[in-house]
Amino acid sequence: MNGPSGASARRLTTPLLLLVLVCSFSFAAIARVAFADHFHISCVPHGFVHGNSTTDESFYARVDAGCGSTVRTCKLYTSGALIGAQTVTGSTATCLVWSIDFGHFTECASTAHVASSGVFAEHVHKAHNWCG
Amino acid sequence: MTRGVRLAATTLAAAALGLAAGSVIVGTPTVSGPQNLLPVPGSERIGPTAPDPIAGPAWALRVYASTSGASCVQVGRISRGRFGQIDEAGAFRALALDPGGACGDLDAEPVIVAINAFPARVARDARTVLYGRASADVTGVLVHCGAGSPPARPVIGATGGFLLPLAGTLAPSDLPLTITLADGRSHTYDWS
Repeated sequence: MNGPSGASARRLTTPLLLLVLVCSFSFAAIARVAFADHFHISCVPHGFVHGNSTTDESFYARVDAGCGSTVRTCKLYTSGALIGAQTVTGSTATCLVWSIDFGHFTECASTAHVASSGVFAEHVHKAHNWCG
Repeated sequence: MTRGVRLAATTLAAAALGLAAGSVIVGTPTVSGPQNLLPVPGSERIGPTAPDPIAGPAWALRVYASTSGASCVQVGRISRGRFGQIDEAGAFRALALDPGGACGDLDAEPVIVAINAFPARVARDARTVLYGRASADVTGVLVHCGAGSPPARPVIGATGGFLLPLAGTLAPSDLPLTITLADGRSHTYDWS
């Protein structure tokens, strides 16, 4: 009695299993890439730096020197409002603007806006635990 | 083992493989934070200072060496001998030595120069501060403040630091500066 139904179950299970595996793999890979986007290296390291914690209101926008850049800009925004900015010039200075220098702000609603002349145009890096 | 348990286990394994594949794609950042800019305790010095253009505690520099050997300079306010900042509520807060400065290599170039913008808040007016740290080869700093305003000559302190606090919000391109070296050469930074 259960022969035909067992075969049917196997026919359903194999494609379903494959679909589940592909979806699980893809979801995890996409999530990993998305959540890594707060700080990365595009010729030079740059982005949003949480520091020791993602919830302690201490975070940075940072652009390292290198790759021929002569001017680097890093700005911090919280809930869309500018909280502080720094621009550095020369060939070796790291641009680093720290939230604590400007007050207390919600880390997960913050973004780093960074640029490096001749390397990359201004673009936005969101907090790792984005809640804005 | 039931079919459901096997399915769950396989799903978890696929997700783990996906995470691993994602990690390969994005790589592991070599710098997860400003660890290479950590201050060397005891290397910090305060100065010079400059009055705020309108009112409030004077501005000050804190210079320090980083653990990677960089020369760093941080701008803040000075109150009762303590280095700190005015927060968004207008209160002074002392800041312990931290990796919040602009850091560079004074063996490779004569100055580290930065401009910080402090936007207006409810209890704080906007300020723009040009500041930096010069090597011993630099004898003068001249900041061109635009047509109609005389150029400013911030004093280079004993720490090599110099600063120029200004009222309002100014773009870096409004504040080109020229440094003069001991051998008579000069170099202009126009922020472009």
